[in-house]
Amino acid sequence: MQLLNTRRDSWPVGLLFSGASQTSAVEHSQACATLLAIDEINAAGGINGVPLVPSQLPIGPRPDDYRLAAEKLCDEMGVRVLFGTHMSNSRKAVLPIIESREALLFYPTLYEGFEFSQNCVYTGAAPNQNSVPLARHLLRHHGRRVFFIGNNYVFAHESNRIMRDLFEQAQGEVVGEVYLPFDAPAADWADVMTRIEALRPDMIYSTVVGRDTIRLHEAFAPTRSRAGGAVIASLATNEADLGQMSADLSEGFLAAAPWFATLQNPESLAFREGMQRRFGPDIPLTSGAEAAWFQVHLFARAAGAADPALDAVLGELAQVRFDAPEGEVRIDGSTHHTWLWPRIGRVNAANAFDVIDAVGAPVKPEPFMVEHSFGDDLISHD
Amino acid sequence: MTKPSGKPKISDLKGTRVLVLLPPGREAEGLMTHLIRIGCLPRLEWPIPAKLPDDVDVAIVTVDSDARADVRVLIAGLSDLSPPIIVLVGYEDPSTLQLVLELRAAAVIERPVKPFGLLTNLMISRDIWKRRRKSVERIAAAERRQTSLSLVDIAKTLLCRVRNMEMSQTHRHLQKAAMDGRIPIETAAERVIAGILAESAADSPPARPARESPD
Repeated sequence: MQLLNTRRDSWPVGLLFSGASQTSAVEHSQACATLLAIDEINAAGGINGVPLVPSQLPIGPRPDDYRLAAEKLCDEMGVRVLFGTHMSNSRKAVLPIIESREALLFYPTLYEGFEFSQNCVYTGAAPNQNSVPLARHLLRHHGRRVFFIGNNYVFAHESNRIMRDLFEQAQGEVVGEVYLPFDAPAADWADVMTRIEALRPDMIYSTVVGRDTIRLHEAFAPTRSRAGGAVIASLATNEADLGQMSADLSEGFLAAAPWFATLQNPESLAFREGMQRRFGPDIPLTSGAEAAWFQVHLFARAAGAADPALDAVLGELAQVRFDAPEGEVRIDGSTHHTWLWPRIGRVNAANAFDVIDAVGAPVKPEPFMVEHSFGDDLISHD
Repeated sequence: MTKPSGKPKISDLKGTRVLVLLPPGREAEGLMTHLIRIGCLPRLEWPIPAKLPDDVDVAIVTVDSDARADVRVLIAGLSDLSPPIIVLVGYEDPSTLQLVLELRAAAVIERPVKPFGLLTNLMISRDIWKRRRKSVERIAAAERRQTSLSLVDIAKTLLCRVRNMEMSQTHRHLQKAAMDGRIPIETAAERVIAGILAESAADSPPARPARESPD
């Protein structure tokens, strides 16, 4: 049987984050959080005395670049445990390599759901863990008329399908739906804003991602729509994006995520302090980074208690719990997705998220849920 | 049940004209090479056209995010006799599946494309399409037959009521008219109906048809 630790005196692990992709800012924060967790685990004695040794290769912007890196890490560097990939197309490109090498990938990013691989553990939010809370908050506090704007990629289409369902269940209305290619010219953004000003939605639900997020906020900032109280809401915009804007572009923006950098509990303070000490005060702290960090700790706990083989580690992963910055997290053994703590954040005048809504218990991941509803949040009571 | 003579033949695949609707690149190249390898005649086209051409036996289509607008146009132009479509999918989320259903996919190939499975999917999709075409033809024939039976029935009823003919004689009457005129029986029935209707129209006052409601 293939072992996940291919060496006796060290346990090689690989990082799959791109410094050149559309989403490189948040991927950088995830890479840093992964390295921080590895340091912490090694400082505490590694996996039963064996240190984790991270390898990271430069990765270009294309899904194929991630695939090539995964191949090299597995075939030339003895890696069988990998952390990373970000957009779904990068994860999809890597999974055949991971599966054929009997390796294990930890994926720390929210995505559209509808995937299971025996060789993958998903620690970002499934749609039921963030879409439903965000839609509920918007409908309660901002109105019923929503405009969808997104980049043209799979998460945008699926997330909008879910949001449309939820809004229509609550007698809301989707007044427009636009997909722009990545790096669309300014004129395209201006056209969208003209439509928004004409349609006067109460809010804009954005599935724009990475670099284009700042263009969206720049285009929206001077509109009559914003002056009239309309807000942008998103699941895909985070502190790494805020870091590239000022409050006059971001104030009022709403997000749903399991963790925000301004949370004040002891685990969050320790995580923030650790990241800033190791990577400097400007390191963006995102929900994706928090998941990247806790997933390494979950892995270490499971690996420390099991034989270093895939099935044994997976079996143990379904048992372990970890006090993450967002709250106690654990993996659901049947779906390989994670119980998480949905929260709503609103950007304040200091360009930081205020947490304005939170659940009282972790929410079960339902990655194969087709019809979402407000009635049944599947909240854990144990 | 398919008759022994109508049994699907694996050799039918040779020379199948396959239209591949994929952006040029490594994936399209690999797919084209394998299609040639198994004896098909593939043709690559991009972007996705608004309508499938008539000279293809099977089309392979991507439903990637950036192709979705074009796929929607293609769906709007599909008919019962459009060639079978094999959809190339990378994701299994409901918004993708919706397009797979709307394309009336005869088969699905998952990404990354592997040579294994392509042959099976091509054969299944051709077979499904042939059956679908046969069903469409059978339904059309059944509908034609139903129409002709109704015409004959109406003509018989009119012959009974208006011409005071015995019901048992009406069929013979129609058959004779068909044989004399060397026409199908439903045409003979149509002529009888038309004749009787014309007479009754001539009998009633034109300004005031009998069935008009009183004012």
